[in-house]
Amino acid sequence: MKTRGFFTLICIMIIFGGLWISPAWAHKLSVFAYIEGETVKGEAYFVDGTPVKDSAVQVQDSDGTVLVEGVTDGEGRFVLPVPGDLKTFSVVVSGGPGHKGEMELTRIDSEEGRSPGQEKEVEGNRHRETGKNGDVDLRELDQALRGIVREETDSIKRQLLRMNQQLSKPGLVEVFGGIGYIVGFVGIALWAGNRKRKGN
Amino acid sequence: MHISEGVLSLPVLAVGVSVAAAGTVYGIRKLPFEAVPRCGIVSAALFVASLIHINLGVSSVHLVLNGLGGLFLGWSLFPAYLVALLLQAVLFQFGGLVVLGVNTTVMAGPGVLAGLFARYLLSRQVPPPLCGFIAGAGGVIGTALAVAGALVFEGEAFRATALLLVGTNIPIALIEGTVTAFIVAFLSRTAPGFLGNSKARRPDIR
Repeated sequence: MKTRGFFTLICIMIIFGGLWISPAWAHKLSVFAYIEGETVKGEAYFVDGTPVKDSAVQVQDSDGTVLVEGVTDGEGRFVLPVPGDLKTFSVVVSGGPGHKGEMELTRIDSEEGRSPGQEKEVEGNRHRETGKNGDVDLRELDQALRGIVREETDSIKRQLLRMNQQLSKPGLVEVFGGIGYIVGFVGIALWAGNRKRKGN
Repeated sequence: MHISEGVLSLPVLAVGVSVAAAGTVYGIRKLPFEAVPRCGIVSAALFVASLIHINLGVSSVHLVLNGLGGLFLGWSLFPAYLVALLLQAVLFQFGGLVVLGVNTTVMAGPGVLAGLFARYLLSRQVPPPLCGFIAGAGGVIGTALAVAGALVFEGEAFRATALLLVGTNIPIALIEGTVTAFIVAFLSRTAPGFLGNSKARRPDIR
């Protein structure tokens, strides 16, 4: 009788849990950021999707030295300036007591990859072509193209952000996998205990 | 309620690991063979508890169930929590392995105290729903205070942090208390052995 009551309760709880399973790790903090020229842009959010509002953001180098500090806006977004020569750094967001998230970024800009020699060559080409056409300033064109590409890839970046958000949520596989582990541990404990008892 | 990795310093982490280890060893010693499945079921419930969430205004809250666990298991709540938090850290990257000891301590410790206190009240013929409410709400508030206590050593002002944490956790404590009250009221009629009733036939965990 007792056992039945208890098992009814557990069944109710598991069914209840199964129905309500949704991203509710209200406290896990994730950061998604990307480099854009001399700035780093990004968003911080808790795993249930709530933005990490008005919280401190720091850019730290690999030794943990704080280089730039800022605050997230009402939607958890932030834009911070980063020195162009900084190759690897991490963005750390602190959202309330005990909650912290970070993301490590490495600069792989094509511009950074160029050697000074290449740069000169490009400059040379530009002058030559400018000389030929006269009215097209390639430097301006370059800026304009960069702007367009930035705008066009913006939606992809948003998409990536959403994907990252989805990925940071625990799925059913993890949930039931975890329960399976616990059942396994109980089995091991019972088995070991039984052996001991029989031995005695 | 989990504390993230990289927030706490080494001494706090070390204290957390020591307390969690001591609690786990003591809890396993106190756990009779017959109660191993119960411990596993509580562990599974703790593991999924954070997924059962209730929308509350702009934010959502989830149950902690540490008070109820303490009521069911007494000191054996420590090993149950250790397993649940270990799996949450590994499978969900939630909390983390480095802070596992601290998180186990801040959640299991207050749960055990609230649960044992509720057992005492039950033995003094206090109405079961009230005992359940005290266990549930007490566990949540106790954990909020314990988290604030751990953060004190990281330069946070205790009063402000504690007030903030307790304040934000009051709605959770009320919900948790109500849910626990219902469960305890139900079990006090159907299976009093789970609630530390010494008159029950089933051997109890002390």
